[in-house]
Amino acid sequence: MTGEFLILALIVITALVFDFTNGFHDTANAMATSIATGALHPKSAVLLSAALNLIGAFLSIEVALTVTNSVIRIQDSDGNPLPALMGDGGGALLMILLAGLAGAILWNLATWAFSLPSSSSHALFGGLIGATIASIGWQGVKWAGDGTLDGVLGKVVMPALVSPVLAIIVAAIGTWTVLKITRVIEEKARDTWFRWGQIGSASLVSLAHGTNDAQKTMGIITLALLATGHWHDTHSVALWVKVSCALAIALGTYSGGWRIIRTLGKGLVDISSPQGMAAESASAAIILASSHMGFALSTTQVATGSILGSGVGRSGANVRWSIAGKMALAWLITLPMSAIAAAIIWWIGHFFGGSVLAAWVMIAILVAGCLAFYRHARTSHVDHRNVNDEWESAEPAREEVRS
Amino acid sequence: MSTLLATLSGVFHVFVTSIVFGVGLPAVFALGMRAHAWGSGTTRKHDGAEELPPSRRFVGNALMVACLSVVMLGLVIGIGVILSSGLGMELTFNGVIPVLAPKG
Repeated sequence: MTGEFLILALIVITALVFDFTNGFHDTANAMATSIATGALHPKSAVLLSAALNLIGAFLSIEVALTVTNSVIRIQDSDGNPLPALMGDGGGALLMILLAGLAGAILWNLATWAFSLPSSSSHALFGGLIGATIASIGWQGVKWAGDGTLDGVLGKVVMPALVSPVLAIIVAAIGTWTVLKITRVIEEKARDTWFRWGQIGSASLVSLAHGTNDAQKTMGIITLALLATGHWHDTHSVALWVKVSCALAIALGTYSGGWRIIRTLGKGLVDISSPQGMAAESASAAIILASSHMGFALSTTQVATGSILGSGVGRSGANVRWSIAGKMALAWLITLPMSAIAAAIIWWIGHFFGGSVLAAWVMIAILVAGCLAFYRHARTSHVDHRNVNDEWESAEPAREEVRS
Repeated sequence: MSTLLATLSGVFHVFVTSIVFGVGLPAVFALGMRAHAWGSGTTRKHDGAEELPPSRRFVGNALMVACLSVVMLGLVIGIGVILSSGLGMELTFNGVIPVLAPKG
């Protein structure tokens, strides 16, 4: 096995791990409200969401080969790697991808350990930006589009400012409207109806998520294959890439990310099923409307905004703004933090010569970081059994960590 | 500046569409629920205690079915948008019926 092939294999595995974290980080977006209101049993909810993510991933026939072009300059407009990065058999490009993915995974695990939702796409963009700056300098980053919604400004900053506000407004109006219309209906019958509505709208969010997000990992893996000459077609994705990405995101979704589900479902607002349906409908409508108009909004930020909005729209609802504030802070620093992590990992790899040894060192740093966050998460264990415990009875039962 | 304008115009379109689908469809769903409750006399006012004419039950159920059909159509449009983005097609509404068409 040649060194280059080994690095390629490590990148493919790292990309699939990122896809997995993308899955469990975002289960909450679709299913947190259905789990919190009891519309679905926690295990059934993650199973449904995983199945829809899997189907969604297979539906994405269109190739997302130019995914990195939104924020950095390492590919041409067809998706082929830039010749300048191909001097040493694509080694420079592989190092950027590996460091970028590692930075994104670390940020996803850090936010998971602290039970905060955050955008996986922004983490991926952040990681790629950090590795690009470290590798080819600031000019490698596309900060703004030419009058279009592109670059860091158009694809990350603007959507991050817009998504939550839009979602809060739509979900608040929706919640207020459905509560007004159904206030004469007996509560038990009303809740049964709304639970069904909730499951329908949450399913749409899951399906859309699978179609959008699995594509990004497919694009990254295919870019690595193009750079090493193992793939030549810029109009399609290898079948094994598609199958493995679809499975990775579905498995990630099924594993649940219970900490984030708990924060979104129980932490932000005490959610009832009419609120849940209004929130998921708002999320589905905003995500689909924006994707239809080629305007990239973050699923996570839309979903969180919608849940907040469902609290705003019900008079007397208790919205925990301190938790919302923590999330806002996490979103603000998602891009810079994953960029810094990726840049540091790239520099360390560069120090070790940017070859096979460097790749192993980078992977070792990634694994060590992941283990550290996992240990932190174990100090307050959340799973499908205690995901719906009352929020005020404080943190879920603390378990002693054997050390 | 031009990026800001592009954003604002995009946001406005997304906002209007989201209000139509994200508020409109749950509202129609809720109206269907209310029509059913009115027809079967299970609102808080009636609580199923007094006898209602069978015609009222029929009208209530018919209204409910109409409302739910609108919601189902919305769901189909939603799946259409997902399919179109996945297949690299465009969902167009030139006629009344949404159609998948190649981009361009």
